[in-house]
Amino acid sequence: MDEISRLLQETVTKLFSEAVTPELIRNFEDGQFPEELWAQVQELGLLDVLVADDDSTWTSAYEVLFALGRWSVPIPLAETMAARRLLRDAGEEIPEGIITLAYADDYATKVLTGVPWARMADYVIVQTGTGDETQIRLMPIGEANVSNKTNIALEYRDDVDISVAPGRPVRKANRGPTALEAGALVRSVQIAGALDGMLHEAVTYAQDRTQFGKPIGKFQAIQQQLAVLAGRVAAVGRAAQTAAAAADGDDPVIDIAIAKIEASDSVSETTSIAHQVHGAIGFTYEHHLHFLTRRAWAWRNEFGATHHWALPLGRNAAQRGAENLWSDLTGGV
Amino acid sequence: MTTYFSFAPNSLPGSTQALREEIRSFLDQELSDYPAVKRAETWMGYDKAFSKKMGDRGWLGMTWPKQYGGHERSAFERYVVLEEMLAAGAPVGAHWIGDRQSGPLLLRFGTEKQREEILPRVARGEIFFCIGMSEPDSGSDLAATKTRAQKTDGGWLINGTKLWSTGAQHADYMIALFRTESNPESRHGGLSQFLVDLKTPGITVRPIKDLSGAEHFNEVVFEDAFVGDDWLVGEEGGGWAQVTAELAYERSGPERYMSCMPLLTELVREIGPDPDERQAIILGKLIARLATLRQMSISVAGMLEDGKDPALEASIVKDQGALFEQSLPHIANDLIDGVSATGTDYAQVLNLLVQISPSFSLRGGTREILRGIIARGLGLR
Repeated sequence: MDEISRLLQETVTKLFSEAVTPELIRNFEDGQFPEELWAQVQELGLLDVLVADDDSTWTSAYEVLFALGRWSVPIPLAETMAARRLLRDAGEEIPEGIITLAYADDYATKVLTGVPWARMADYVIVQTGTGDETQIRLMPIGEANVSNKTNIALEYRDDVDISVAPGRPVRKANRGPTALEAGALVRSVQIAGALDGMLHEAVTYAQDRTQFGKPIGKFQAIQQQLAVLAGRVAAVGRAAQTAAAAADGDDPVIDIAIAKIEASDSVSETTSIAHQVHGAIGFTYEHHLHFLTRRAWAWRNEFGATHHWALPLGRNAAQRGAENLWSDLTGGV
Repeated sequence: MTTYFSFAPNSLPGSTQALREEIRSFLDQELSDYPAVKRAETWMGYDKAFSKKMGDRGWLGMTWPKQYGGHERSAFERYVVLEEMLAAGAPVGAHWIGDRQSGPLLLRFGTEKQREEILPRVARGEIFFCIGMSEPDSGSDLAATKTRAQKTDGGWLINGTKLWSTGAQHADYMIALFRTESNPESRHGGLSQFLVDLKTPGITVRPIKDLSGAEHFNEVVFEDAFVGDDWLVGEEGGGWAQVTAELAYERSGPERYMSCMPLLTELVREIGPDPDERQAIILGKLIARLATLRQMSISVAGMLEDGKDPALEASIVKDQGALFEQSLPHIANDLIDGVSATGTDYAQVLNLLVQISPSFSLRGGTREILRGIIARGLGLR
């Protein structure tokens, strides 16, 4: 890990592990946005992690995104970080404030659904279409009608009626991720962080909880499940790191697709194991495990669920054919 | 980042690309008329002449010191050779064990005489190894080893039976774990490793037919077989630590998720350029998992290159890899209706791998043992 990444990791781990208590998240779910934390994040310059200088990388930003997932941090940092980078890559001015990301298949879409943090955002970057059809617009949210909605983790995922506020077209960057790809990358890394949190929670619980006269972590039935959870945590983390590194290159779409498939597709098994090991207490609102598992359930569907990314990946492989399968797989070395 | 294990985001150095091209043109030539169903055997395919050619190319003992016939190349370069061989389904079974674990074990624990006498011949692809760990009453519980090495004048007399020794019927040597002390203080004590010449009188090798009808593994019976003092490997009584290290080598490679690579290739061929939506989605998911396992495996190669011990990470890759390669034949089976019984290449490859896939989570340490190692890494044992 390079020096910048290490510093970022230390900074965000310290900040989030201390500040983002179960109480803070419960308050957020009761309607109280963590203003103080959001101010601290801005003071630390975390919004600019991907644009601070010419050498700012997704590779380093991974540490911030991972921590956002690991500690269930309920603030619009991931989206704003990514959006600022997208604008810079496109050679656009970067406006002040919160910027979010949205995607719609079709330019004619009137209402964007599930837009992260829209009610408090200043701008949204809207991508319509993919590949050659891609169009990008920057839209001041103040001009649109926003209806408040949430995902199942009660994070803001609002509907934005853009029929009266089409915004203005912005250039497409000629390298790096598109808005949809950046969103998928961000969620993949956040899921990796959340799964890592589940592993830590489940292992700690298994060491502390005693039944039949010993910690349940001493039972092979529990050990075998946690080993599987660890395997998925390792896989999703590795795929997400690869995707982050690819986002620093020219064309990251395949690595991001792989990361989002692995992340989204691992949520079912990992959340099941984390809850099974915790027993009934993990199913209560009082226990904090669900802050991680509910986010994983929500995030797997955001910026493209498994099938969204697996379909073109599979079609492409079929079109390229058996002869190119292995060389394509090893092409990125 | 997680604190339990480390999968550094290594990528293969750009310098490996030329080597990869060299291997591919070698394989194109060597395997031009090698049938798909033979490719599906991957590292169970056995061809001493092919292994000799790899030795001639400098692709065996790649990371070993030159003084022992090695080539002092990086763990990443060796990784590229391994994965290209597996992807092509080349018959690498003859040299696989010696190159992967017996050679490295001798390099680490062997005497100077053993290294000088054995390693250059392994690297040239002239002599071949098998493993002597399991026994009829000692499978996952390796410490229950009963086969006895009794001290005698100038050496040891061996009595007992080793089981599941893949390739023993063709191999020249076995590195075997024997009991040199009957009632050791600790459960893991009293075991020692020996380098056994399989031509030694008193050794009988009997192939065991597996459920697919093939003969890969064997029973090896020792009846007063004499092994000289010079062929004790490492420390007398130090066998447990050594065999644990050997198993880490055994679990560290890409063969733990690539056994079905030839099937995936034939599946893509069979599906053709216009998959239906279900086929495309499932193919996309398989590719994502394969690519991720490969990244994890490259991280393990990076740890080997840095001289770190990847025992935990290798167990994670092997467990996850076995889940992948064991499920693949059945996923493939569900993707295409009406596959003829044995007619096409695809059907033959599928039928073979459906049958041998149960072994993927048995060989090299069962799923349960690996998960126990992972649980230990998590601090649960």
